[in-house]
Amino acid sequence: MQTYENPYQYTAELCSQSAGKLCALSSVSTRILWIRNLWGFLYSRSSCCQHVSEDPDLGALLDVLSDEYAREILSATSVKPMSAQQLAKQCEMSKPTVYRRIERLKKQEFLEERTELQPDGNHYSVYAATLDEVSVSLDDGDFEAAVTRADPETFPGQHEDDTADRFAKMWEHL
Amino acid sequence: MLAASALVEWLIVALAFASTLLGGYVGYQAYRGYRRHDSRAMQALSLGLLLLTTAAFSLAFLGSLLLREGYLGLQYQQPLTLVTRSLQFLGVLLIAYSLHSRA
Repeated sequence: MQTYENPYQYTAELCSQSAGKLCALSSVSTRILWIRNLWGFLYSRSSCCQHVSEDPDLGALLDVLSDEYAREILSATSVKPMSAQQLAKQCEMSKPTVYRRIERLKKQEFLEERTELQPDGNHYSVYAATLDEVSVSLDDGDFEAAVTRADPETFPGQHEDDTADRFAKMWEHL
Repeated sequence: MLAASALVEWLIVALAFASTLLGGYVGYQAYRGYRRHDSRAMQALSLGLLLLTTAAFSLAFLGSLLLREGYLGLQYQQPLTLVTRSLQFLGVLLIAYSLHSRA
């Protein structure tokens, strides 16, 4: 079964497959999904936010992870979203190095790009690690790999189960 | 006409009570955040919220009830308002401090 990262993508596809009334119906479901997203934003639970993808391209996956710079970028962006500039500074790499690794990590969907809006119009991109776990197993002559991705937090403490923890992290990182 | 004003009065009391409860809930969560993370910012925030909502609201509510029923003389009205406003001021002061305190 195909999984959709973005619920809108799903409804958009529904829309292109069907016509007329069904399409109107799916726009209603888009709205419901939007409300559910809002609900998830307010009451997120850590268990809801993980996606496991089986059978990724093992070679490409290990290739990216074997790179020390890429791993450094992953570990830094797993703490908080960072811009390429910040990454270059913190990990002591040149900006071309950072951008090259970011491209590779994005291709494997280990990183998520977000646009940070600025009031002066100079919007810039920040990157957040989505990688949670990689597992490789050898069974009966077959390598099997699975990647678990977690939605990066849109605000600090989002995935905390306890309201008090979410509150504390949110407030402290203000 | 009389029924309408009674209804509004009842609504005012209900809203004040609900605000006290909800404010207390938010303050309580902030207090738990402080206990669980041992953070000064959360300590100040929870104290501020409790003063601003629970303490000030209860005092104002209780005071206005006592004044209306005649258990307290009218000369107490101004001091009571002063104390309530002081509690509210202290509350927002603590919240502002919490915003700026680090660690």
